[in-house]
Amino acid sequence: MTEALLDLRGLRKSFAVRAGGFGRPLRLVAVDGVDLDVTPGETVGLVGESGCGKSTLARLALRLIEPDEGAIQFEGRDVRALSRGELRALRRRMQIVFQDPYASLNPRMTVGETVGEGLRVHKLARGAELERRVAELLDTVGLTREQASRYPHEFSGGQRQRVGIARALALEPKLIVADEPVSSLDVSIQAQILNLLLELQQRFGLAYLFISHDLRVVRHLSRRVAVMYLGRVVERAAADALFAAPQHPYTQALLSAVPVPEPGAGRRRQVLTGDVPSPIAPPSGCPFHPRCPKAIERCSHEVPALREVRPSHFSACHLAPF
Amino acid sequence: MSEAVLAVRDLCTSFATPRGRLRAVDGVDLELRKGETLCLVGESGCGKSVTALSILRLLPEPPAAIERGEVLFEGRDLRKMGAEELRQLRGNRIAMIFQEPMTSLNPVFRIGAQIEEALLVHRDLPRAERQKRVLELLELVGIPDAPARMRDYPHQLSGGMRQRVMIAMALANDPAVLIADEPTTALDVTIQAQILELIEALKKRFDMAVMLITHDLGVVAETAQRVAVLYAARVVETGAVAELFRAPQHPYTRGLLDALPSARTRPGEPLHVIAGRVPDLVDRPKGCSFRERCSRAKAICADVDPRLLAGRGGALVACHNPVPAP
Repeated sequence: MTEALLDLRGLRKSFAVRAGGFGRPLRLVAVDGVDLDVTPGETVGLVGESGCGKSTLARLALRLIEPDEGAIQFEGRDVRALSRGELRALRRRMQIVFQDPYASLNPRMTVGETVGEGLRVHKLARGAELERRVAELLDTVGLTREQASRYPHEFSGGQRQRVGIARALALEPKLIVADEPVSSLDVSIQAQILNLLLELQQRFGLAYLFISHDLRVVRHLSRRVAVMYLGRVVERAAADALFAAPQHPYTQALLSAVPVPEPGAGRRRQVLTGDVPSPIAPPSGCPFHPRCPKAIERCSHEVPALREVRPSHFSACHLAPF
Repeated sequence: MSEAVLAVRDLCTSFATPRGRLRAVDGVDLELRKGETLCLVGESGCGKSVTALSILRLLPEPPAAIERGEVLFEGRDLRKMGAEELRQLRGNRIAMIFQEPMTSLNPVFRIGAQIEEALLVHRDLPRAERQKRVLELLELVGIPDAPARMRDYPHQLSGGMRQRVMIAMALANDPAVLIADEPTTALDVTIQAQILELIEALKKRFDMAVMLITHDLGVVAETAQRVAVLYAARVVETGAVAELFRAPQHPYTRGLLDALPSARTRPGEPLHVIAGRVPDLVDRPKGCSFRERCSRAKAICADVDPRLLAGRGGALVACHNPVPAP
């Protein structure tokens, strides 16, 4: 087994929220004891619905926010123990690409300034060398050098996402955390960005932690997949195995809910009842049990641990394997 | 073939912009038949939402202007109706739901009162009857514990529940046609599945025709009987859903299907890409709008605008060099 590039152990993060504006502060547990690792050069897909904690986990992994508990190792170093200076140096090796290419670019900076900012801040290039590197990066992501002097509003959504990717690449990272990078793009543009991500991975040996609610996209990109529900990883496995034989009822329902572009595929869709419960007051026992078609009495009071139900296939369900 | 409840003929809608008039819908023909679901599919800016809003004349005029065309509902042209006549029809015989239910619901009124208002506008029912009907509608759209929920304000409900409330309002007066503009786009996939099933069940129960606008080809495949693909403000292909997915005839339809990761694509392999971008709709170039992105373009495509003509299997295709059958 290759040594992990990123290794998350028992991560936990809660936020104080005020329910309804008047109530006393409540704790929302966004991430509740998550283990996850990414090895060099691989893509790990992280899927789940709104509020499952996947974006919080991404920010924890980069220590953009501080966890309450748990350990984060990057290339074998304890990220939580680093000083600010050390952390800044480490950030060169792990970068993030955000969902919204409109909100994540500074409208007052030219695209060239945005892409070169990291190089300047880390004092890696200046003057003509900086310009040359920026031009190279724009080439790499399929933009032109001439576009360096333009501002974000002159770009389409797909082009802005390319700028975001060029910015992430500037510091030659080993890991890119991509948080819903294609969710706001049209299908034809989405395909372009996915192809670009695959090509860059090949070329630079990048690892991706790829976060998405779109299972079709995750399947296309990922070697391994983790599924989150209400702050916990409920299933983790190789992508092939997870999509072929999901071992958690939530994953099963999620897969069956995705509309497939094949009319009359004749699938029996399993429609879950009810909404995702509030993470402020999560259900007792298994967090999925109130919506689970397979739930038994035990599920309502005993939290299932994530365990290996098939070789390298982990599920947090009392009833697995299926 | 069953009859059309709603027919759109040569619809053109434009917007005033600083650069000139932008034709957002440019000669669209559509036919919605009794009891069917017709999906309008296309990417951002293709004109699918503007088409729906033009049908019901919900666009602010100006800056929008419906330049020409007919919208025939039960034999009458909506474009020739007066404001009062139109109001009688909207939310009554033709209802519409939108992508973001939070912006369509009034945040300061209880949801029960909002559904009641939909009834009040179009029907003369005594108060007790109206309240009974509100409960009935909430139960119909699967809102649990309806007597308590009808006293809730919109913000107290989840996105999925709010969309159910919108559907209840839309159904209040037994419409013949439901126009749904990206009704599940803002929802999670498990909630999307619930809402799509609900629309399907209600369509059957009330024998409605549904026009569903979406950008998701998966949603099209699972809900529609027929589909119209829009590109750059025009319908480029329309036909039966199974046939369109099996053997698309317009190169753009083919490209859209291939760009999607699916059972037909192999993980990690490059996806098919439609190069280039949509043409400028303020200054639409001569000839086919797709030709610069099209691998099948010929000389004629630069000169002559392709018309929507009969293709294989009863489909209509606007292409000089359609994709051959596989």
